[in-house]
Amino acid sequence: MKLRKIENIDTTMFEQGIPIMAQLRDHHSTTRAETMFYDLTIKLCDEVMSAVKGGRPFVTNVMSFPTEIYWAMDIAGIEYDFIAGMFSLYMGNKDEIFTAAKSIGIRPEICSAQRAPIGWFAKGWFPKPTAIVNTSLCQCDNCAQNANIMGALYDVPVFCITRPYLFWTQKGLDFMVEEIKDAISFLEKTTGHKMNYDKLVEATRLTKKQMEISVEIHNLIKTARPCPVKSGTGFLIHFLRMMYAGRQEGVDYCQAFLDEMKERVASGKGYTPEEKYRLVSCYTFPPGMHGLLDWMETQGATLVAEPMYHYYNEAEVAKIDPTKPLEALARIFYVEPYHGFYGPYEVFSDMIINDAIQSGADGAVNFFNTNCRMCGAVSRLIKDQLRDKAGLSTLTVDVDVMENSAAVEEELKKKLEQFFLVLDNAKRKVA
Amino acid sequence: MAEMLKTIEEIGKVNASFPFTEPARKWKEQGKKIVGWICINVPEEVIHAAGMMPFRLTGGNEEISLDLANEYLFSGGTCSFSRTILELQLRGEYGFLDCIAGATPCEGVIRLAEVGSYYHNIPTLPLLDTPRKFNDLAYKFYHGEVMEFKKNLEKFFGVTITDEAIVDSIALYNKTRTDLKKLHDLMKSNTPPLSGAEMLEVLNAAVRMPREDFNTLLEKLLEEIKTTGRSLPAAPRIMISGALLNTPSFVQSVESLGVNVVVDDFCNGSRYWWEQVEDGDPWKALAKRYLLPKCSCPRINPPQNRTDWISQIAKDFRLDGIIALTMRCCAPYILNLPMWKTRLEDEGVTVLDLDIEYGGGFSGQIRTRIEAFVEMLSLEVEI
Ligand code: SF4
Ligand code: SF4
Repeated sequence: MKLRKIENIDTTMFEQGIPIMAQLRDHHSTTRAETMFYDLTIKLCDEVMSAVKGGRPFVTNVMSFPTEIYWAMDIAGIEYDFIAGMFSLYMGNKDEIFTAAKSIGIRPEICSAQRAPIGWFAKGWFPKPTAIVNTSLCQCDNCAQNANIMGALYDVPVFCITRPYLFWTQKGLDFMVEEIKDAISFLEKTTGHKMNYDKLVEATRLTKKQMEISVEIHNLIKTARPCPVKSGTGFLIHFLRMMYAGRQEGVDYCQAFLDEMKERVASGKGYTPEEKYRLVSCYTFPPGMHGLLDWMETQGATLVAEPMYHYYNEAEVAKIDPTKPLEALARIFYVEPYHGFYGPYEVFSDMIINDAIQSGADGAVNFFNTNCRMCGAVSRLIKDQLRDKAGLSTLTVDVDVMENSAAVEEELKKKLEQFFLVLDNAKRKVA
Repeated sequence: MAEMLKTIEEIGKVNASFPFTEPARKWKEQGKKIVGWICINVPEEVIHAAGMMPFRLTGGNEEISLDLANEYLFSGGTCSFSRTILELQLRGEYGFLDCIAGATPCEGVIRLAEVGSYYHNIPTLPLLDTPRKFNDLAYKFYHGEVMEFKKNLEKFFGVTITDEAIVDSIALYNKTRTDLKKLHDLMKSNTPPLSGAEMLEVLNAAVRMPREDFNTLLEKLLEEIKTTGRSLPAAPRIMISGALLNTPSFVQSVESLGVNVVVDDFCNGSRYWWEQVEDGDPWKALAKRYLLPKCSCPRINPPQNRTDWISQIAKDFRLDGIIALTMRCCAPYILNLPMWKTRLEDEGVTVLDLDIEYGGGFSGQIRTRIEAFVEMLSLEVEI
């Protein structure tokens, strides 16, 4: 099949995905923040559908596009990789979308996170956006390029923000400011909506607030014993922050996350009855593996640090000045710990090693996404450095973020069981 | 069968001694330095102007086992090109390099540099940060990177790179580009003077020996073609496209099926020589040239320029078909190929989309599919 414009766009599938979020909320939420996460995701999907039906501009983006811009321009927006991945994970249509992607030449070596939205577009299931925006995140080739394919499939314009490799420098910051300006011009042109800079100031203020709360969350995670955070929720707070950047709901969510942690600390209770294995998670724990997380709790295993999602640099957050909204957006982009993963490797490894040491972890797990060109490539290096610099063993497993089958879950349990034995031995030796 | 050209034989000898080629060995014997570079965003002229020999990091003439590299660079997501380089580094085969200069074109080479520098002992200079687009902002940014690269080289080796030296080096490298263009222009003939495999030998040697000597060989080759009037029989005309390819034996096998490979779309091929460094401020001109605005690489956004460029090549070289070699895990290429494939096919050029590994041989499925492709072209094309 050739890469041709999709003539029939039918959003039925997308609309069927929305109630699944409600089911997840009803079956898996055990915290107030989790409930809010699903409710807010539903709200965002509803906003998208009503924009599409009502003729209001709707823009879709790859992870990490500064979505404060949408809010300040009165545009509806949603992250395509997150939503396509979530929907397919729970709708059980992975094979169908990956086959559609394959039919236009997108091989399985492209990680499932970025193949999923291509599949959704190739099937004509994704609502038609006014425009698509993506970011290179510097290193992720998949994020930097998949939007071109989707733009061609739907015949809509595409704009990519390039992020420098060395992003902490003044030069890197200046470059990002210019890229963000260009992105705004592109959106003004394609949507016909003008940027409201007053609203942008307010949006960056709200994002800064989210980040300040996130700094508190991080500090508490490092110091509190037992761990007051439910394992695996780093992924949720990250996506919520990104989707609701610059919005009051995002601040409320972060506050709820923090408040629940504080309540736990005050009551002296963690999520795991007895914390036997305090683990640092290097990458993303597979988000669909709810059963596995529950099982880990019964084994006394807790993810006490998810640096990729919580490691905010307080001093850098303080530098964000909402009165200069474009520079603030560039700084926000850089402060986001998730983006540290995409910069020079040392930024990423420092985050992991510091968190591992400060949280008193017993070991590390690196569940990296199968075919992830970023994390897979450095998985051995992380393991060696955690051993050399923090004295920790690491369990490294490549597992697809869009995998949640019982068979894979069983396999992972076995691997974890063996790993726990390694940790027990290490503890015995120390004793 | 056309007679072998003497200059091609000479060039072949350079490549036969890869990686520590004879010319590189002689250079080192004179006490001079060699800087290994990876990726065509690294301006070789800067290394040359510092008095060193730039040497491109590639794999050799055949596929090698990647056992060592696979321990350190996860094979599930990292292309076999990056792993081949790491393998050679870890085996010590690149031990003759004084340092490595790299850029940030894609995750493959970034992670190679980051991982490699932890496990091998060849010093690695800070990477040139290469934007994924070309506009005024990107040029300005890259100009800063090129200046930084100059400083880093100067500091590392304790040398000074003067403006005069860079101007001279640019002239020398532009001469290579001019002559490679002349050579490729000859390939536009129905009966081209060189096979694609021979051309690849030439291109491989270009980055494995002192540039002055290579330019001499290139001039000699052009002269020999002129005097011998060498030409190959007409056959369907194809381009091989991909990230990069360094194994002439692969091209030779393709051609043995009855086609002429008249041009390529590799970063060690036409993307390497296509664009000249323009006149004006040498440092700014270098920055602009090394972002490859015209013959852009698959990673560049937006992809339109690249599609136009390939379409133009297809017309200029009167291509009948294109073999697109998709290296497993090369995300930039995988995600770019569909962007131009449809357009080329609509323009009447058949495109064969094939999965390969870097350095991989011509056997099994690959042979079968290329054979079928060539057969189809031969039916379509009247020579
Ligand atoms: S999983 Fe890896 S390759 Fe995929 S989007 Fe994330 S960083 Fe990029
Ligand atoms: S462009 Fe492709 S082949 Fe080249 S280093 Fe990057 S991933 Fe590997």
